[in-house]
Amino acid sequence: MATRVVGTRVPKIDAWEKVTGAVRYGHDVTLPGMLHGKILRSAHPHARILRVDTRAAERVPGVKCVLTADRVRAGKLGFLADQPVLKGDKARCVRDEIAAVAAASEEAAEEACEAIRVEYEPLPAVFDPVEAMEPGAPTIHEHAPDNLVKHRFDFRYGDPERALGRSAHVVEGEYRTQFVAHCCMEPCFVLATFDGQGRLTIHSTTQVPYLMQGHISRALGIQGSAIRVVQPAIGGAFGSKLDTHAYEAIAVLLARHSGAPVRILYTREEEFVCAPTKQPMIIRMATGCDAEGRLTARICDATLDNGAYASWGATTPHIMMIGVSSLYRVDNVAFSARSVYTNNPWSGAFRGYGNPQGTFAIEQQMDELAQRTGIDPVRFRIRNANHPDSVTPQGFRITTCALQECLDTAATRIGWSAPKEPWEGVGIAGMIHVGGGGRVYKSDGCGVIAKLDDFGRLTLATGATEIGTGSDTAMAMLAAEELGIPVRNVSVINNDTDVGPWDVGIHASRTTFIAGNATIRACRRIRDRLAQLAAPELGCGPEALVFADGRVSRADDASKSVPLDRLVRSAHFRDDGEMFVGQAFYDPPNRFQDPQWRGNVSATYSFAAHAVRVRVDPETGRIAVLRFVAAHDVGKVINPLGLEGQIEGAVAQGLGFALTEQVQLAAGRMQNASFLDYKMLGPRDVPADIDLQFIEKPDAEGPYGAKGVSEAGLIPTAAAVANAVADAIGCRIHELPLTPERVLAAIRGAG
Amino acid sequence: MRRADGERRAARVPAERPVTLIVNGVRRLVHAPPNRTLLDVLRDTLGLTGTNRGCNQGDCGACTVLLDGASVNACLVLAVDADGSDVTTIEGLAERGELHPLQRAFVDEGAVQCGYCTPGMIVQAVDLLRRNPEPDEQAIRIGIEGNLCRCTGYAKIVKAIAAAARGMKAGTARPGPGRKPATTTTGRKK
Amino acid sequence: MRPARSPSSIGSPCGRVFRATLRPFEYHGARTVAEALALLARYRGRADLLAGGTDVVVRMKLDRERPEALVDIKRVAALGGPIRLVGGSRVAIPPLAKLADVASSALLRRKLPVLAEAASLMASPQVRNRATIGGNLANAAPSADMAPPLIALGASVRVHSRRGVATVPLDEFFLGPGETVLGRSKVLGAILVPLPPRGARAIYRTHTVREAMDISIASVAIYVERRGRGPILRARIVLGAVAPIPLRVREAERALEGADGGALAIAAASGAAADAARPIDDVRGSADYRREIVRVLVRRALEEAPA
Repeated sequence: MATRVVGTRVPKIDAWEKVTGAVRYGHDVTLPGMLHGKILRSAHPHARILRVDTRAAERVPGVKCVLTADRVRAGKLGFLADQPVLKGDKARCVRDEIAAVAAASEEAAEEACEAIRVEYEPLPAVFDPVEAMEPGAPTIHEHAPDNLVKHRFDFRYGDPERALGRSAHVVEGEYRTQFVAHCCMEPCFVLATFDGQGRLTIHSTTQVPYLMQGHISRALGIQGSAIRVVQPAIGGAFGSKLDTHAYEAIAVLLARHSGAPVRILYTREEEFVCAPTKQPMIIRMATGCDAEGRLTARICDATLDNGAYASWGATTPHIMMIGVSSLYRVDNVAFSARSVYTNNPWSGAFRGYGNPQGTFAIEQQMDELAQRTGIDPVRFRIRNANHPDSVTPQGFRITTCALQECLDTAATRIGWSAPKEPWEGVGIAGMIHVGGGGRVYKSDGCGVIAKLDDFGRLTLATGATEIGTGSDTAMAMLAAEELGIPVRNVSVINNDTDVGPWDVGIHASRTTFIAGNATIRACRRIRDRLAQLAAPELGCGPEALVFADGRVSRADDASKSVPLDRLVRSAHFRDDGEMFVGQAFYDPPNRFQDPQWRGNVSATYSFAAHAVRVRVDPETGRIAVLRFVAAHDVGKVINPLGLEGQIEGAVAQGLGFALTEQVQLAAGRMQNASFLDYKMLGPRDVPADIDLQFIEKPDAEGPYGAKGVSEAGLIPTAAAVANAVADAIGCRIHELPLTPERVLAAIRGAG
Repeated sequence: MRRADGERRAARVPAERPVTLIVNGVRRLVHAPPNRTLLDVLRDTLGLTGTNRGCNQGDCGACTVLLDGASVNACLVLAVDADGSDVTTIEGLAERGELHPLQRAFVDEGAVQCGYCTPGMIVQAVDLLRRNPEPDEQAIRIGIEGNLCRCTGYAKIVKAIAAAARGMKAGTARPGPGRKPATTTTGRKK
Repeated sequence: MRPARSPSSIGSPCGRVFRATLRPFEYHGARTVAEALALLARYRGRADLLAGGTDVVVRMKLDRERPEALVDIKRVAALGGPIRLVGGSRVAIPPLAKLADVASSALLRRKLPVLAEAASLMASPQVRNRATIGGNLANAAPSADMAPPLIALGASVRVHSRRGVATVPLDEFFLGPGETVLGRSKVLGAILVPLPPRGARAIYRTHTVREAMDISIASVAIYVERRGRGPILRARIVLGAVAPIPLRVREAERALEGADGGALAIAAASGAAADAARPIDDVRGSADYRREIVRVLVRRALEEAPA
């Protein structure tokens, strides 16, 4: 299909306002009379709260409102509704919000919080998920005496135990992954305000504005119709804003009780301590293959440190399971997983949603099996790779699949067979992920209203949130393509629940796929109507018209054409005039999984392979990443500029996950809550040589054939690095991150 | 060093002091107590919100501005200490609606995603290109080593800086911020 | 030079508030050393000096320190000025010299390149544009990057007190983490570095997880003086981040002095350095790992020094 806009390098449509500083992030939003909210958090990771005395706080000049749990009427938050907004009976982690203050200045709010007296009765605490499951462990929630989150994952297909028993080769191992912080450059923000008639507006950086309406409605007893969510520009999310957080509900309560707008901004340290993390996992896995290297069975069991409350993060095994069951063809699979309450700060969703953790284990075992069978690891993977037009044990319908091409490309470009210096290694890993939405809610849809005005400018109103991924630009490009107008003539309004039609939220790499499809459909409604109007004037049938360069023209004779804006005006300003508004709601043809975890959860699946060359310093354990290849099956590239940025950024996050990043907790308290001590990678740490390879096999359901990609770029990264390090040092490390100290210990241990 | 809890509440209120700054070429008189940083004054008093607060501890570079021509973390500079200084923020780079070559390159090369680190990154790059108009890849990475970005993986940022440097050298783009004649306005923190 | 950012467990028994604002304090701009000393005396240990501020302001933001006043010495002319050669035998670095100036100083690059390199390793360009070498020393972080190479070069510092000016060898300057002979009553003056004789070599090596914006897990400065291929006449080995203060390892120096600089002497010296290190376990690394890194860094630095 010849395209004019799709496939070209288009700068992000909000880039101008971002490079000039004109854009407004949360902390740039102020309202007249606005108060500053501040939260007092628990002194203990587990304690009964005996008494809270706020009298001194209320006397601090400038304080308008001090709230504790017993002063507010509030239900609970979280998809299992296990988290009180303010904690009144007991604190379950050091993040717990004991009291909150709204004051005229930030200093007054801080001073008031410091003046609150709290008496605690410390309780025995548990910080390890395995210990938390043992009999006699401290109980964190009364409703869960066994400390297990009531959301379990058990999938079986075939007879994996028996198949493993009959396998020529079996590898088994336990793999551990760490707490990782999202490190959004913008710390958490919320601003809540009620108008005179009781209608609430929440200025929020949420990834799920429409779900947030429901969360706040249920937790605080405010009618959904009285809640409007407005999003300023969002300085990073990466899954951290998939839940509605207690501080957001607290701001609403403070606004309600003080009668003034209330803003809460986190400090960076608060962000590290109080924003959710990636779920750490203990993964036990066994994989078998026959003598020819065909996979026979896999059994995987995962334990997640959920922390004190259940967020969407507790459901990450849902997506982790996709890789376990369906990255490679395996006829016998068992997967089980549980999230365990501990007194650690609670974990949330993180880009990749459990899949990077699972892939870390899967792909190390693929290497080990390859070694046992004497087959080259790349060939071994290709032998087991999924094929297009197949169905996996979980019932995923693989439509297009370029995993084999990805593996081949990555291996070739990394110089798989090239000679290596001592202590140099190469590694490869593949991945599968949802590429056509992911049905984790009763609708996976997105609505778009397209409006073409008298000047030929198109406005898209949508609920599809933009968090920096460039989905806004992709939508503008698709609209421009459909209507034959320049991208600069498209506006995207995507930040107001009063304006945009519903969207489930930005997650699961779904926005370009789903909002893109909705955009195309909405624009086609306008185009079809315009074609009807233009056809008589141009003397042909509507199907014989093309939309390009701001004009509607005859396909066979470009000299017969009419400008789009004139066409609009002539239809507008006439008797019985009309407007050009098209709307569409696109809900992809994917399915909710059944209780046995079967069902085609995504409309299509994306694949990738990462290959990496590393050099290890054998005396310090330091790993240097020399070269990196990311080969991705993307269906179709809509905006190369945006796609490259997504993958480059994801690879950097994946390398951080692999090499340096870890939230270090001691007795539930973070020990490295700063950018100095939390080792997110800087400009000199990410290798300059990241080679991106995009393999285009258009997907029938995707917009112009595109699949979702935003998470794919970090899913196989850590696994590929671990394999390269194993190649370099001759032994395997099953725990992330691969810190110099850990690598050196492995080298010494093996020696 | 930490004094007893009770003592803390005997709040002293240090007097505000006049602070004169030349911000993006305009003389500004503000009043700030000693515990306000340059970042606080730029954002809250002068309404120049383009400079972002990322960590407030000098670790991330999001609040980078030029102070008397050299890049600094505005969060670590006390406003009173900046009295009499010349400050350039992201708002001072474009002239008459025309983007600075670095801004232009960040747009064109796709170096912007969420954008929160972008102003600090661009201002730091101004400092870098003044010191070294022809930096190689490694020099660029060293030049922005104090600026964190969580979205881009830095590749396109490095490319954008290289492209801007080439453009500025070829004279197809003009160099750093110019100076408008100083005029006086006052702003006072509410 | 950046203060270690340590545990987030600071908070009262009632709970934790994450403060966004700096607590109130008074600000005084001193014009002379005498004025600064008088102000310090007036506050009796409850005032801090402010130069670049990249350290003290961070400590205050982290609520680790609540000074009643900051005495800004940035504009004290006697503490600033250029880095210069004194009497042909040593270099005087004013305490207000910014790390960026130290890193780019033509004089240092020519005469004492190890100091320029050490300064360029630190923090970020923004911090180096602001932070001073005096602040790096006076803040006395165990991981401070300027201290080991300066001690290895045999530097001394001027210390101004109300009684006058004294000269203190830098290896007697540090008393503990954050503590120096300055206490909270004296002011650091010029840093005096003797020019090494021909045939001397000084090297500074750090081990960090990241390439920049990081605190050393361990660091090592070595100084080796010899004539041609003759025996080593003098050696100094100083370790950073593995003891409460920069640690000079005389056992390692003795293992080198008089030796030929060959593998045996190097092994003995690096072993002695590792044995002498007194590292702690913390979020950046275990004590054992740090000790091992000391051994590797000392060996590599000595191997690099030309035989």
